[in-house]
Amino acid sequence: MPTRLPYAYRYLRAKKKFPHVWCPGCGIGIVMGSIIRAIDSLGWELDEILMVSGIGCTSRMPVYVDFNTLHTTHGRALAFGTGAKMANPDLKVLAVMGDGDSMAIGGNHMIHACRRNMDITAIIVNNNNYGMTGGQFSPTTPQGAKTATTPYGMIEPDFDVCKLTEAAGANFVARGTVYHVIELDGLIKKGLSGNGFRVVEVLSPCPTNFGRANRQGDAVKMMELLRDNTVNAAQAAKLPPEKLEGKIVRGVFVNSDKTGYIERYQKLCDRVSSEVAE
Amino acid sequence: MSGVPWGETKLIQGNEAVALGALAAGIDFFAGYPITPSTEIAEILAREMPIVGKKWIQMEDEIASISAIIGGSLAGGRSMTATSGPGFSLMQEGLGYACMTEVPLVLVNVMRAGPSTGLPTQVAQGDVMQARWGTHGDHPAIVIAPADAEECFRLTIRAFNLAESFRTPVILMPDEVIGHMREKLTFPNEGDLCVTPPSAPDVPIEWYEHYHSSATGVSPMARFGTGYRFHVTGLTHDPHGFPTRRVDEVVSKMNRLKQKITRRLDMLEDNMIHDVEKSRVVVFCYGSVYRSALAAQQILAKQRKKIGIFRPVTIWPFPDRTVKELLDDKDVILVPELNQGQIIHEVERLTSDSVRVVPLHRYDGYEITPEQIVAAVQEVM
Amino acid sequence: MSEKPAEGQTVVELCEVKRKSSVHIFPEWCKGCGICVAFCPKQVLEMGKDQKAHVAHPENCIECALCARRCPEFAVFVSEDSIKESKKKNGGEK
Repeated sequence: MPTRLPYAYRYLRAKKKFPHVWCPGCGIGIVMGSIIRAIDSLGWELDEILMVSGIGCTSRMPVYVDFNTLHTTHGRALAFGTGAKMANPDLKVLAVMGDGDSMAIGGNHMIHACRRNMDITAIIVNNNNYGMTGGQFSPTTPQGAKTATTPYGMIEPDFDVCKLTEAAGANFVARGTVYHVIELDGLIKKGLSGNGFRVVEVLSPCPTNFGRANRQGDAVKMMELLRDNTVNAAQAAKLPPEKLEGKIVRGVFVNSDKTGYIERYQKLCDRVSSEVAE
Repeated sequence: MSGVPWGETKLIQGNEAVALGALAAGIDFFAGYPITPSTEIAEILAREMPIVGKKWIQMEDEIASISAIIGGSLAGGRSMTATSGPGFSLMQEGLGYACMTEVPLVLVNVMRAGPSTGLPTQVAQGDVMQARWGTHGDHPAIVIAPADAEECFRLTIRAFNLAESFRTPVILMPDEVIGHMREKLTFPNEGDLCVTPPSAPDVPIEWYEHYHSSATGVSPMARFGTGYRFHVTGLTHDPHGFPTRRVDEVVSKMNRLKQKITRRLDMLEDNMIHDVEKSRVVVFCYGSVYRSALAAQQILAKQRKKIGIFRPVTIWPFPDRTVKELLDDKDVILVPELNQGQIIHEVERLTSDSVRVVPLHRYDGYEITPEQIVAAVQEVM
Repeated sequence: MSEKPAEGQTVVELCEVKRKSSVHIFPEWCKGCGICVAFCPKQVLEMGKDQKAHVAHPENCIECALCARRCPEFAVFVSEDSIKESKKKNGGEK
C-alpha cells in the first residue's frame, strides 16, 4: 500500500487544525493512518463512511477525518452505530474506541453487537488504561501494573479482548500492534471487508500515563516492548510453551461469514411482508 | 389488523394509539427495551414495522435504545423509543446528548409510580420535573401529556412534527392510566394528516453549517450519507460542529439552544381551558387527572357550583404567560397531582400571594377520583 | 527549510540533496517522539536539537515507508515517484 501525501490529505479534515491532540509517541495517530490506508485501498466513497466513537483519547479520532463522523457518549459508540446502520444500511459503519470505553462502560454494548453480528467494524485501541482522564486502570490493565487508581498495583484480572469478542459471536476478530504497521494495515483492511461484527484490537503505547507509571520508558521503548513481547500466529505455533509464556499473540483469530444482522432483518421484512400480502 | 385503520372507529388502548400514531407519522426506526407500562408500544411496532420494511430493534438496555435512535435519526430515520420511570432515568444522558446535538427524536415515557422500581403497574405523575431537568446542564425540553386515546394518536404525530421543527427531542408523557385505558377512537383519513417532513439543507455542501443560526434558531439538518460530511459531538461546539472552548462560541450555542424554544413558545403552547374566566375556583391538572376533573366539574355543576379547569397539554415549556394572565386573579387554584407536588410549584411561582394554591396529592398508585376533587373543591368553596 | 549547509557544502548542494530525498518531514506537525528515527532500518533519520526529526542520510533511504506509516502525526511522507512495494527485500518490521 503506498504512503504518500496526496491520498492522506484527501481523508483529513482541512478545517481541523493539525497537529492533532494526541501526545507525542501515542499510537492512536498510527491507527488513524492505518485506517485511512485501508479505506484508500478499498476505494470507499467518503460519503458512505460513518466513523463513530465514544469518549476517550481514541474516540477523538473522528473529528480529524473527512467522513460522516459521530462522537458520542462514553461507551455507547456501538449503540449509536447500530441505530445508524439500521436506519441507513448503505452506511459503512466504523467504530473506534479505547479499551476502557469498549470493555468497561461499553462492555454490554460490545457483547451484544458481537452476539447480533451487527454489520459494524470495531477498532479497539488498547493502551491498557484510561488515558484521557489521567491514566486510571481499565479492564485490560495487566495484573500488578501501576495506574492512577491502582497505586499499589492492579489486583483485578484483565480481559482478553479477542477471546471475549470471539466467544460473544463476532464474525472477525484480530489483534495487531502499532509497531507492526504493515501487518496492521492488512488486518484493518480485512476488518473493514466483510459482513457481520468485525473486531480489530490494536495494542498501542500510552507513554504519558501508563508508560510513565510503569517505568516503561519513552515512546520508542514502548514500541520496542510491542516488538519484543508479541508474536504472530505463525511464530506462536512454532514456539514451545515456555517461550510463549507472557507473549501476546497477534493475527486473525476468527474469520467466519455468518449472516450479519442487516441481512437477517431484511430477510425478516421480506418474509413478513409477503405473508401479509397473501 | 395491520397498519393504521384509516377512517375507521375502533376500541383502542392508549399505548396502541401511540404506536399507530408513530406509524401514521412515518416512523422509520424504533429501538426500545421492554418496561411496564410501555411495553405494548414496542410489541405493536415489532409486529407492524417489518411488514412495511421499517426498522425495529430491541436493544440490550435503555441506554442502548436512546443511543440507537439518535444514531438512527442522524442517519435519516424518524426515530422513537418508549419507556417508563427506571428506563427514563437511564436515558437521561442520551437525552442530553440529543439536546446538545439538536437531533430530532420522540421519547415516550409512560409514567408509573416511583421512585426506583416503585409500583411498576400503577399510575403516578412523578416524572414531571425529571422530564424538564433530568439530564445535567442547561437544556431545552418539550414535554407533552396526552389525556385520552385520541390524543395518544394525534399528539404522537405532533411530537414527531415538533421534534423536526425544533430539532430537539420531544417527550410524550402519558401516565399509566392513559397508556392502558381503552376507548373509542375514530381515525382520520390518511390524507387529512399533517406530517412535517424531515428537513434537508438548502445550501451547497461547502456552505453547510450543521448548527447554523437562523431567525428561529433552527436550521435544516443534513443526514449522514447524503454528501454533507459533518461532525456531531456532545462537546460544546461551533456552528460547524467542531469542539470549541471559545467563550463567544460557547455562549452563542447555549443562547441559541434556549432561544430555540423561547422564540416560538406560541407553536408549543397547548392548553385546554374550560370556564376559567368566569370561575373563582380553578382546577389545574394534566394527564389522567384531567379526566377526573372533567367529571368533577359535571358533578359540581349539578350542585350549582362552578369551577374552571386549566389543563396544560404541553407541560414544558410551561405556559407562564397564560397562567399568569388567566389565573392570577382567582380565589383558589386546586392542583390535583399523582405525586407529592411537582407542577404546583410552577403555579405558585406565577401567581401572587392573594391566590390560594391548594394541593391535592395522591401517591398510592391509584387515580385521583372525581369524588376526591369534588370534596376538595367543596372544602374551599 | 531550517537546516544549514554542512561544512564545505553550499546551499545549492544541500538543496540538491534534499530534493533527492524520498522521505520528507513536516516540522510543524512533528512532535519529536523519535519513533521514525529509532526504527528506520537504514538510519536515514536523526533527531535534531530542535526536538524534530530530520532527514540526515537521504541517500540510504530504501523507501520502505515504515517511517511514514509509524509516524503518529502524519508528519512524515515518502514521495510518490519512488515507491517500492516489496518489504522482504527492503527491510521488514522485525
